[in-house]
Amino acid sequence: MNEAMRTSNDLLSALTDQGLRMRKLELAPGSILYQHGAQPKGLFFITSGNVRTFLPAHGRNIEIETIGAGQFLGLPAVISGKTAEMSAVAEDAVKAVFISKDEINAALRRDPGLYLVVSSFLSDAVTSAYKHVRKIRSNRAAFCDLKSSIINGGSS
Amino acid sequence: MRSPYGFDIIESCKSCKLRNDRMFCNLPDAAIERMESIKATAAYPKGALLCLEGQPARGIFILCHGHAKISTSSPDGKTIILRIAGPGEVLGLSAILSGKPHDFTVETMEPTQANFIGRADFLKFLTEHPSIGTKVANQLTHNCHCAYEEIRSLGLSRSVPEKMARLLLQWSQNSAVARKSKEGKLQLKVTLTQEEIAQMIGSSRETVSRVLSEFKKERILQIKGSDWIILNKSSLERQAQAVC
Repeated sequence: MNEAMRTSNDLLSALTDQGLRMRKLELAPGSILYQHGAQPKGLFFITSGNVRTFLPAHGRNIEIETIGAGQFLGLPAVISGKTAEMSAVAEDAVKAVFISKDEINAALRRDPGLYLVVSSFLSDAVTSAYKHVRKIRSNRAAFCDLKSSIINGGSS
Repeated sequence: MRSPYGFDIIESCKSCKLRNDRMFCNLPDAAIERMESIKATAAYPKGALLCLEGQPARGIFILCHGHAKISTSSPDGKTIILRIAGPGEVLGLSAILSGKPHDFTVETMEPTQANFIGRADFLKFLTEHPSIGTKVANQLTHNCHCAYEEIRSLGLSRSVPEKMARLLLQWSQNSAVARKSKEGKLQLKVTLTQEEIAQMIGSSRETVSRVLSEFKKERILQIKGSDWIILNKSSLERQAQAVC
Protein backbone atom coordinates (compact mmCIF):
# COMPACT_ATOMS: atom_id res chain seq x y z
CA MET A 1 0.00 0.00 0.00
CA ASN A 2 1.39 3.38 -0.92
CA GLU A 3 2.26 5.52 2.08
CA ALA A 4 0.91 8.71 0.54
CA MET A 5 -2.52 7.14 0.15
CA ARG A 6 -2.58 5.25 3.44
CA THR A 7 -4.84 6.54 6.21
CA SER A 8 -6.33 5.00 9.32
CA ASN A 9 -9.54 4.62 7.34
CA ASP A 10 -7.75 2.08 5.13
CA LEU A 11 -6.99 -0.05 8.17
CA LEU A 12 -10.49 0.41 9.54
CA SER A 13 -11.97 -0.56 6.15
CA ALA A 14 -9.70 -3.59 5.87
CA LEU A 15 -10.86 -4.76 9.31
CA THR A 16 -14.55 -4.00 8.85
CA ASP A 17 -14.45 -5.72 5.43
CA GLN A 18 -13.69 -8.84 7.45
CA GLY A 19 -16.99 -8.36 9.26
CA LEU A 20 -15.37 -7.27 12.50
CA ARG A 21 -17.67 -5.61 14.99
CA MET A 22 -16.98 -2.02 15.87
CA ARG A 23 -18.02 -0.32 19.06
CA LYS A 24 -18.42 3.43 19.40
CA LEU A 25 -16.86 4.90 22.52
CA GLU A 26 -17.19 8.27 24.17
CA LEU A 27 -14.44 8.97 26.64
CA ALA A 28 -14.25 11.73 29.23
CA PRO A 29 -11.07 13.80 29.57
CA GLY A 30 -8.50 11.85 31.61
CA SER A 31 -9.88 8.46 30.60
CA ILE A 32 -7.26 5.81 30.04
CA LEU A 33 -7.54 4.01 26.73
CA TYR A 34 -4.82 1.58 27.71
CA GLN A 35 -2.08 1.45 30.26
CA HIS A 36 1.57 0.48 30.15
CA GLY A 37 2.05 -3.11 31.29
CA ALA A 38 -1.58 -4.12 30.77
CA GLN A 39 -2.83 -6.57 28.16
CA PRO A 40 -4.07 -4.62 25.11
CA LYS A 41 -7.82 -4.56 24.61
CA GLY A 42 -7.92 -3.60 20.96
CA LEU A 43 -7.54 -0.79 18.47
CA PHE A 44 -8.93 2.70 18.98
CA PHE A 45 -9.71 4.77 15.89
CA ILE A 46 -10.11 8.35 17.04
CA THR A 47 -12.96 10.23 15.41
CA SER A 48 -12.79 13.40 17.53
CA GLY A 49 -10.73 14.80 20.39
CA ASN A 50 -7.10 14.10 21.30
CA VAL A 51 -5.26 11.33 23.09
CA ARG A 52 -1.77 11.72 24.56
CA THR A 53 0.58 8.77 24.71
CA PHE A 54 3.25 8.31 27.36
CA LEU A 55 6.11 5.92 27.80
CA PRO A 56 6.58 5.26 31.52
CA ALA A 57 10.03 4.60 32.93
CA HIS A 58 11.17 4.53 36.53
CA GLY A 59 8.17 6.37 37.88
CA ARG A 60 8.15 9.10 35.27
CA ASN A 61 6.39 9.49 31.95
CA ILE A 62 7.95 10.53 28.67
CA GLU A 63 5.37 12.18 26.48
CA ILE A 64 5.50 10.61 23.04
CA GLU A 65 2.78 12.19 20.93
CA THR A 66 -0.76 13.44 20.64
CA ILE A 67 -3.11 11.39 18.51
CA GLY A 68 -6.11 13.13 17.00
CA ALA A 69 -9.08 12.51 14.72
CA GLY A 70 -8.25 10.25 11.77
CA GLN A 71 -5.47 8.44 13.64
CA PHE A 72 -5.49 5.21 15.61
CA LEU A 73 -3.76 3.67 18.62
CA GLY A 74 -2.69 0.32 19.96
CA LEU A 75 -1.50 -1.64 16.94
CA PRO A 76 1.97 -2.87 18.09
CA ALA A 77 0.61 -4.29 21.36
CA VAL A 78 -2.40 -5.93 19.67
CA ILE A 79 -0.21 -7.60 17.04
CA SER A 80 2.67 -8.61 19.31
CA GLY A 81 0.29 -10.04 21.91
CA LYS A 82 2.53 -8.52 24.57
CA THR A 83 1.58 -5.99 27.18
CA ALA A 84 1.22 -2.34 26.12
CA GLU A 85 4.49 -0.40 26.10
CA MET A 86 2.78 2.95 26.44
CA SER A 87 -0.15 4.49 28.24
CA ALA A 88 -2.77 6.49 26.36
CA VAL A 89 -4.89 9.10 28.09
CA ALA A 90 -7.74 11.18 26.64
CA GLU A 91 -6.69 14.81 26.72
CA ASP A 92 -10.21 16.08 26.17
CA ALA A 93 -13.57 14.54 25.32
CA VAL A 94 -12.77 11.80 22.83
CA LYS A 95 -14.96 9.84 20.46
CA ALA A 96 -13.49 6.65 19.06
CA VAL A 97 -14.34 3.49 17.21
CA PHE A 98 -13.07 0.41 19.01
CA ILE A 99 -12.33 -3.05 17.62
CA SER A 100 -11.34 -5.70 20.13
CA LYS A 101 -8.04 -7.58 20.03
CA ASP A 102 -9.83 -10.93 19.93
CA GLU A 103 -11.79 -9.91 16.83
CA ILE A 104 -8.63 -8.70 15.11
CA ASN A 105 -6.67 -11.84 15.96
CA ALA A 106 -9.50 -14.04 14.73
CA ALA A 107 -9.56 -12.11 11.44
CA LEU A 108 -5.78 -12.51 11.07
CA ARG A 109 -6.10 -16.24 11.59
CA ARG A 110 -8.89 -16.45 9.01
CA ASP A 111 -7.07 -14.30 6.46
CA PRO A 112 -3.27 -14.13 7.00
CA GLY A 113 -3.15 -11.79 3.99
CA LEU A 114 -4.43 -9.14 6.38
CA TYR A 115 -0.97 -9.14 7.97
CA LEU A 116 0.36 -7.38 4.89
CA VAL A 117 -2.08 -4.51 5.44
CA VAL A 118 -1.35 -4.42 9.15
CA SER A 119 2.43 -4.54 8.57
CA SER A 120 2.37 -1.41 6.43
CA PHE A 121 0.82 0.42 9.40
CA LEU A 122 3.33 -1.18 11.78
CA SER A 123 6.06 0.24 9.52
CA ASP A 124 4.66 3.68 10.19
CA ALA A 125 4.76 2.95 13.93
CA VAL A 126 8.46 2.00 13.63
CA THR A 127 9.22 5.16 11.64
CA SER A 128 7.42 7.23 14.23
CA ALA A 129 9.29 5.54 17.10
CA TYR A 130 12.65 6.25 15.45
CA LYS A 131 11.59 9.87 14.95
CA HIS A 132 11.10 10.10 18.71
CA VAL A 133 14.52 8.56 19.34
CA ARG A 134 16.05 11.31 17.21
CA LYS A 135 14.03 13.92 19.05
CA ILE A 136 15.00 12.67 22.46
CA ARG A 137 18.65 12.55 21.49
CA SER A 138 18.32 16.21 20.63
CA ASN A 139 17.02 16.81 24.15
CA ARG A 140 13.73 18.04 22.82
CA ALA A 141 11.59 15.37 24.42
CA ALA A 142 8.82 16.62 26.59
CA PHE A 143 8.80 15.14 30.05
CA CYS A 144 5.63 14.94 31.94
CA ASP A 145 5.02 13.98 35.51
CA LEU A 146 1.52 12.67 35.24
CA LYS A 147 -0.06 12.41 38.64
CA SER A 148 -0.72 8.81 39.57
CA SER A 149 -4.32 9.79 40.31
CA ILE A 150 -4.80 10.57 36.63
CA ILE A 151 -3.15 7.35 35.53
CA ASN A 152 -5.10 5.21 37.98
CA GLY A 153 -8.35 7.04 38.11
CA GLY A 154 -9.61 7.10 34.54
CA SER A 155 -11.79 4.58 32.81
CA SER A 156 -11.83 3.33 29.28
CA MET B 1 31.80 -22.71 1.29
CA ARG B 2 34.46 -20.72 3.17
CA SER B 3 34.19 -16.99 2.55
CA PRO B 4 37.27 -14.77 2.10
CA TYR B 5 36.32 -13.23 5.45
CA GLY B 6 36.93 -16.38 7.44
CA PHE B 7 33.46 -17.77 8.07
CA ASP B 8 31.41 -20.43 6.35
CA ILE B 9 28.83 -19.06 3.93
CA ILE B 10 25.35 -20.46 4.50
CA GLU B 11 24.49 -21.32 0.91
CA SER B 12 21.00 -22.69 1.37
CA CYS B 13 18.29 -21.48 3.72
CA LYS B 14 16.63 -24.89 3.43
CA SER B 15 19.60 -26.74 4.91
CA CYS B 16 20.64 -23.95 7.30
CA LYS B 17 21.04 -25.50 10.76
CA LEU B 18 20.26 -22.20 12.44
CA ARG B 19 16.96 -21.72 10.62
CA ASN B 20 14.70 -22.81 13.47
CA ASP B 21 16.32 -20.49 16.01
CA ARG B 22 15.94 -17.33 13.99
CA MET B 23 13.17 -14.83 14.06
CA PHE B 24 12.42 -14.65 10.35
CA CYS B 25 14.00 -17.78 8.89
CA ASN B 26 11.77 -20.41 10.44
CA LEU B 27 9.38 -20.46 7.47
CA PRO B 28 7.28 -23.27 5.98
CA ASP B 29 9.16 -25.40 3.42
CA ALA B 30 7.25 -24.02 0.43
CA ALA B 31 8.10 -20.46 1.44
CA ILE B 32 11.76 -21.32 2.04
CA GLU B 33 11.98 -22.86 -1.42
CA ARG B 34 10.48 -19.77 -2.99
CA MET B 35 12.82 -17.57 -0.97
CA GLU B 36 15.81 -19.56 -2.25
CA SER B 37 14.83 -18.62 -5.78
CA ILE B 38 14.58 -14.86 -5.17
CA LYS B 39 17.42 -14.19 -2.72
CA ALA B 40 20.96 -13.19 -3.53
CA THR B 41 23.58 -14.27 -1.00
CA ALA B 42 26.63 -12.12 -0.42
CA ALA B 43 29.44 -11.75 2.11
CA TYR B 44 30.40 -8.23 3.12
CA PRO B 45 33.52 -6.90 4.82
CA LYS B 46 33.39 -4.86 8.02
CA GLY B 47 32.17 -1.34 7.30
CA ALA B 48 29.94 -2.19 4.32
CA LEU B 49 26.82 -0.04 4.02
CA LEU B 50 23.74 -2.17 3.41
CA CYS B 51 21.15 0.61 3.67
CA LEU B 52 21.62 4.36 3.61
CA GLU B 53 19.35 6.76 5.49
CA GLY B 54 17.25 8.85 3.13
CA GLN B 55 17.83 6.56 0.15
CA PRO B 56 14.92 4.73 -1.50
CA ALA B 57 14.71 1.11 -0.40
CA ARG B 58 15.77 -1.41 -3.05
CA GLY B 59 14.94 -4.45 -0.99
CA ILE B 60 15.43 -6.21 2.33
CA PHE B 61 18.51 -7.82 3.85
CA ILE B 62 18.29 -10.90 6.05
CA LEU B 63 21.36 -11.10 8.28
CA CYS B 64 22.76 -14.64 8.28
CA HIS B 65 26.11 -14.13 9.99
CA GLY B 66 27.62 -11.15 11.77
CA HIS B 67 26.30 -7.98 13.32
CA ALA B 68 25.40 -4.61 11.88
CA LYS B 69 24.89 -1.24 13.51
CA ILE B 70 21.72 0.64 12.76
CA SER B 71 22.26 4.36 12.94
CA THR B 72 20.55 7.61 12.10
CA SER B 73 21.46 11.28 12.18
CA SER B 74 20.17 13.68 14.79
CA PRO B 75 18.87 17.07 13.62
CA ASP B 76 22.24 18.57 14.61
CA GLY B 77 24.08 16.13 12.34
CA LYS B 78 25.41 13.74 14.97
CA THR B 79 25.40 10.00 14.37
CA ILE B 80 23.08 8.07 16.67
CA ILE B 81 23.46 4.29 16.87
CA LEU B 82 19.93 3.02 17.46
CA ARG B 83 20.78 -0.61 18.04
CA ILE B 84 22.90 -3.53 16.94
CA ALA B 85 21.17 -6.05 14.67
CA GLY B 86 22.15 -9.71 14.80
CA PRO B 87 21.72 -12.88 12.75
CA GLY B 88 18.15 -13.70 11.73
CA GLU B 89 17.00 -10.09 11.64
CA VAL B 90 15.43 -8.54 8.57
CA LEU B 91 16.66 -5.06 7.74
CA GLY B 92 14.86 -2.51 5.61
CA LEU B 93 11.34 -3.88 6.14
CA SER B 94 9.72 -0.61 7.18
CA ALA B 95 10.94 1.25 4.12
CA ILE B 96 9.85 -1.53 1.78
CA LEU B 97 6.39 -1.76 3.25
CA SER B 98 5.80 1.94 3.74
CA GLY B 99 7.29 3.01 0.42
CA LYS B 100 9.33 5.66 2.25
CA PRO B 101 13.12 6.07 2.10
CA HIS B 102 15.21 4.25 4.71
CA ASP B 103 14.94 5.73 8.23
CA PHE B 104 18.42 4.60 9.09
CA THR B 105 21.81 3.50 7.85
CA VAL B 106 22.94 -0.11 8.28
CA GLU B 107 26.69 -0.73 8.46
CA THR B 108 28.30 -4.10 9.04
CA MET B 109 30.42 -4.27 12.20
CA GLU B 110 32.34 -7.36 11.17
CA PRO B 111 32.53 -9.63 8.12
CA THR B 112 28.90 -10.43 7.49
CA GLN B 113 26.70 -12.62 5.33
CA ALA B 114 23.33 -11.25 4.26
CA ASN B 115 20.66 -12.42 1.86
CA PHE B 116 19.18 -9.68 -0.29
CA ILE B 117 15.67 -9.81 -1.76
CA GLY B 118 14.58 -7.04 -4.13
CA ARG B 119 11.49 -4.98 -3.27
CA ALA B 120 9.17 -6.28 -6.00
CA ASP B 121 10.17 -9.90 -5.37
CA PHE B 122 9.70 -9.53 -1.63
CA LEU B 123 6.25 -7.92 -1.91
CA LYS B 124 5.19 -10.65 -4.36
CA PHE B 125 6.62 -13.26 -1.98
CA LEU B 126 4.48 -11.87 0.85
CA THR B 127 1.30 -12.02 -1.19
CA GLU B 128 2.10 -15.57 -2.39
CA HIS B 129 2.81 -16.74 1.17
CA PRO B 130 0.52 -14.78 3.47
CA SER B 131 1.53 -16.87 6.47
CA ILE B 132 4.87 -15.04 6.43
CA GLY B 133 2.95 -11.95 7.42
CA THR B 134 3.21 -13.01 11.06
CA LYS B 135 7.03 -13.06 10.81
CA VAL B 136 7.06 -9.64 9.19
CA ALA B 137 4.70 -8.25 11.82
CA ASN B 138 6.82 -9.81 14.61
CA GLN B 139 9.98 -8.21 13.23
CA LEU B 140 8.25 -4.82 13.02
CA THR B 141 6.85 -5.00 16.56
CA HIS B 142 10.35 -6.05 17.71
CA ASN B 143 11.80 -2.95 16.00
CA CYS B 144 9.14 -0.82 17.65
CA HIS B 145 9.94 -2.32 21.04
CA CYS B 146 13.68 -1.64 20.57
CA ALA B 147 12.97 1.99 19.70
CA TYR B 148 10.73 2.42 22.76
CA GLU B 149 13.41 0.86 24.95
CA GLU B 150 15.91 3.32 23.50
CA ILE B 151 13.57 6.23 24.27
CA ARG B 152 13.00 4.91 27.79
CA SER B 153 16.69 4.49 28.44
CA LEU B 154 17.89 7.74 26.89
CA GLY B 155 15.02 9.91 27.96
CA LEU B 156 15.51 9.26 31.63
CA SER B 157 19.28 9.03 31.84
CA ARG B 158 20.80 12.35 32.67
CA SER B 159 24.48 11.66 33.26
CA VAL B 160 26.92 9.77 31.07
CA PRO B 161 27.88 7.33 33.89
CA GLU B 162 24.18 6.49 34.24
CA LYS B 163 23.77 5.94 30.49
CA MET B 164 26.98 3.88 30.39
CA ALA B 165 25.80 1.75 33.32
CA ARG B 166 22.43 1.15 31.61
CA LEU B 167 24.19 0.10 28.40
CA LEU B 168 26.50 -2.33 30.23
CA LEU B 169 23.55 -3.87 32.07
CA GLN B 170 21.65 -4.16 28.80
CA TRP B 171 24.62 -5.94 27.21
CA SER B 172 24.95 -8.21 30.23
CA GLN B 173 21.47 -9.59 29.42
CA ASN B 174 22.34 -10.24 25.78
CA SER B 175 23.58 -13.78 25.25
CA ALA B 176 25.36 -12.76 22.03
CA VAL B 177 27.61 -10.40 24.03
CA ALA B 178 27.70 -11.74 27.59
CA ARG B 179 28.85 -14.96 29.22
CA LYS B 180 30.00 -16.05 32.66
CA SER B 181 33.75 -16.15 33.23
CA LYS B 182 35.46 -19.03 35.06
CA GLU B 183 35.27 -16.98 38.24
CA GLY B 184 31.53 -16.54 37.79
CA LYS B 185 31.82 -12.90 36.74
CA LEU B 186 29.89 -11.47 33.82
CA GLN B 187 32.17 -11.17 30.82
CA LEU B 188 31.25 -9.05 27.81
CA LYS B 189 32.72 -9.23 24.32
CA VAL B 190 32.71 -5.60 23.23
CA THR B 191 33.70 -5.00 19.64
CA LEU B 192 32.46 -1.41 19.52
CA THR B 193 34.94 1.43 19.58
CA GLN B 194 34.63 4.15 22.22
CA GLU B 195 33.41 6.45 19.45
CA GLU B 196 30.61 3.99 18.62
CA ILE B 197 29.70 3.61 22.29
CA ALA B 198 29.48 7.40 22.46
CA GLN B 199 27.13 7.32 19.46
CA MET B 200 24.98 4.74 21.25
CA ILE B 201 24.56 6.73 24.45
CA GLY B 202 24.61 10.23 22.99
CA SER B 203 27.95 11.37 24.33
CA SER B 204 31.50 12.10 23.14
CA ARG B 205 34.38 9.64 22.83
CA GLU B 206 36.37 11.62 25.39
CA THR B 207 33.60 11.44 27.98
CA VAL B 208 33.09 7.72 27.39
CA SER B 209 36.82 7.19 27.88
CA ARG B 210 36.76 9.17 31.13
CA VAL B 211 33.70 7.31 32.48
CA LEU B 212 35.21 3.93 31.64
CA SER B 213 38.40 4.95 33.46
CA GLU B 214 36.30 5.91 36.49
CA PHE B 215 34.50 2.55 36.38
CA LYS B 216 37.88 0.80 36.25
CA LYS B 217 39.24 2.88 39.13
CA GLU B 218 36.16 2.11 41.22
CA ARG B 219 36.62 -1.62 40.47
CA ILE B 220 33.24 -1.78 38.74
CA LEU B 221 34.68 -2.88 35.44
CA GLN B 222 37.82 -4.55 34.15
CA ILE B 223 38.80 -4.03 30.51
CA LYS B 224 41.27 -6.21 28.60
CA GLY B 225 40.95 -5.34 24.93
CA SER B 226 37.52 -6.43 23.78
CA ASP B 227 36.95 -8.50 26.94
CA TRP B 228 35.15 -6.51 29.59
CA ILE B 229 34.41 -8.04 32.99
CA ILE B 230 31.74 -6.62 35.24
CA LEU B 231 33.31 -6.81 38.70
CA ASN B 232 30.53 -5.12 40.65
CA LYS B 233 27.10 -5.46 39.11
CA SER B 234 25.21 -4.00 42.06
CA SER B 235 27.27 -0.83 41.86
CA LEU B 236 26.45 -0.63 38.16
CA GLU B 237 22.76 -1.09 38.98
CA ARG B 238 22.95 1.75 41.49
CA GLN B 239 24.55 3.99 38.82
CA ALA B 240 21.82 3.03 36.36
CA GLN B 241 19.05 3.86 38.81
CA ALA B 242 20.43 7.27 39.73
CA VAL B 243 17.62 9.76 40.26
CA CYS B 244 17.12 12.01 37.25
